[in-house]
Amino acid sequence: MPLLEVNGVFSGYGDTEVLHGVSMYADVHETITIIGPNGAGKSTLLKTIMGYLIPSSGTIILQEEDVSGLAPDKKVKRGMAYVPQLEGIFPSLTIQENLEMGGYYIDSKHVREQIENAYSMFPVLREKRNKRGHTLSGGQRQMLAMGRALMTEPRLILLDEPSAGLAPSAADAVFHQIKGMHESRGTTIIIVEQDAQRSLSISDKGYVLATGQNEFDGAADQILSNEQIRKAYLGG
Amino acid sequence: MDIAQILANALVRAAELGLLAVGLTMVFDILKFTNFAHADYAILGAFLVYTFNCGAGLNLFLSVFLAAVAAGLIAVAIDKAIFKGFRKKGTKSVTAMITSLGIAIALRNIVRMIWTSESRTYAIPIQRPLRILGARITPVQIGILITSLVAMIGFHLLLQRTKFGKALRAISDNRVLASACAIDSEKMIQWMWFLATAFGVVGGTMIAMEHLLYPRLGFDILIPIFCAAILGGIGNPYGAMLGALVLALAENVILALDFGHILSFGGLFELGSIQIKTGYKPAISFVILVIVLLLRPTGILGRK
Repeated sequence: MPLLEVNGVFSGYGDTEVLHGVSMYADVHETITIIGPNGAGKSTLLKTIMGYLIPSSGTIILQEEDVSGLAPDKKVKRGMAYVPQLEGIFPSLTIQENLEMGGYYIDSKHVREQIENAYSMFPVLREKRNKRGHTLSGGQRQMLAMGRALMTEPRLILLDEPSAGLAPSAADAVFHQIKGMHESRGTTIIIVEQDAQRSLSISDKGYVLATGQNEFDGAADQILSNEQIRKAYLGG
Repeated sequence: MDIAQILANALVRAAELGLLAVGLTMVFDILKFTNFAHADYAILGAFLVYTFNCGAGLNLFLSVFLAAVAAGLIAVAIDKAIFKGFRKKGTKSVTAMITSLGIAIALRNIVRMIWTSESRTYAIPIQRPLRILGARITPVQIGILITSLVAMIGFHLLLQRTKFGKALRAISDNRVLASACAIDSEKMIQWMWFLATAFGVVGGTMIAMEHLLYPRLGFDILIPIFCAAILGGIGNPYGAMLGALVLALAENVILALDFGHILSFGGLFELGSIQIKTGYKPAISFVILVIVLLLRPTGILGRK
């Protein structure tokens, strides 16, 4: 039984349709990478899954419940989490306050426990707990963004380009954390990523999108070894 | 030049303007548009205070409280009827701004229709000023200072210490991310309207208490409020408080200065006394506003 089913979704911004019937499936405990050229609709797909964009047709099913028309805050309460590209933190709030906001709807005792969990996962955040978000480096911001998203102990987490704008060493650290998050918590993870090689190497499955449609999907190693896809989407 | 008196007058003026500027800046901070109706909401509230106080004979504090709640609810209702739809459609902020100008005109004329254009005063007996550190200050003015101080400290604690205040700051930072935290932005926006307007009613009533209450008062105080908010850094509530203080000091110092004395280099030659007339007081904030926008549009504190 898949955790998430996206069935023939059409979606976009206003009159501009970006996704023309995209489907994808995520099983429990899976890590999935979505790749494709710029403008293929990868981020749009994540925004549609999360509820920032409502599909004009097609369905999104989360654990047998149709959640197609639900707003993001309702989806968070059903176990989904989302880390937007580059803007995953509240810059004027302190690190601690950022994490508190991540646990906005859970009770305060549980919030304290979860903050402790986040600090033990990302010790650098504990050191800077009273500093404001905008003082963090790019890599630290991404860790805070993930820590914030994990506050509700989501079953499914959507990461939009977690390595965007990061130095290679910081990107390494972020992927290391994503892998760790998957292994220790068993969270299902869907990643949209420019650095497809690296993201696929920690994934079970991959989907290739092109011009808003499914181009190819399969096991991650199968995609990595597919000559045509390597040439077209993975830079040789 | 009586420095103690200038300071006392400036503090009272800052107390009044500060509460209004905080509300204006909050709406801008969260909704990213300038609410031209802010002062008119406040004056509508000040008239409600008048009705509760002089019409129904309620005590002044209770009247202010009831009027602040009522005007706050009116602001929420107008948001639901108009601005909520704009947010859903992603309407440009300039459209919201012009709409607020229309709301301002409508409110002003509704007030005129209900209460007529006549000037009014609250049921406060004429008081003998007290002398504190050489400055004359009335008990009403002391009340204004204390009320404003308590309101500002309360607002600070609300923003920094409560879950509600943090969520409000979160929405101001990044509304997309706030909804990914299950924060109900729409509900928070309604609370923001309520608070901003209630603060405005308290500030507007204080100004009316010190001078006169008339329907056009909102329009007359709009420029000083804008000036205070922009001077401190629009969108920043602490900036609004600071901006109000700086503006109030500037107004009172400039009105007290003898330009004849200054221009004649301390009386080197005869120039006589040249003072700016109190009637030109509104011009001071206008000039400061222009200077700030030219030289430092982000204001003293800048954005947060």
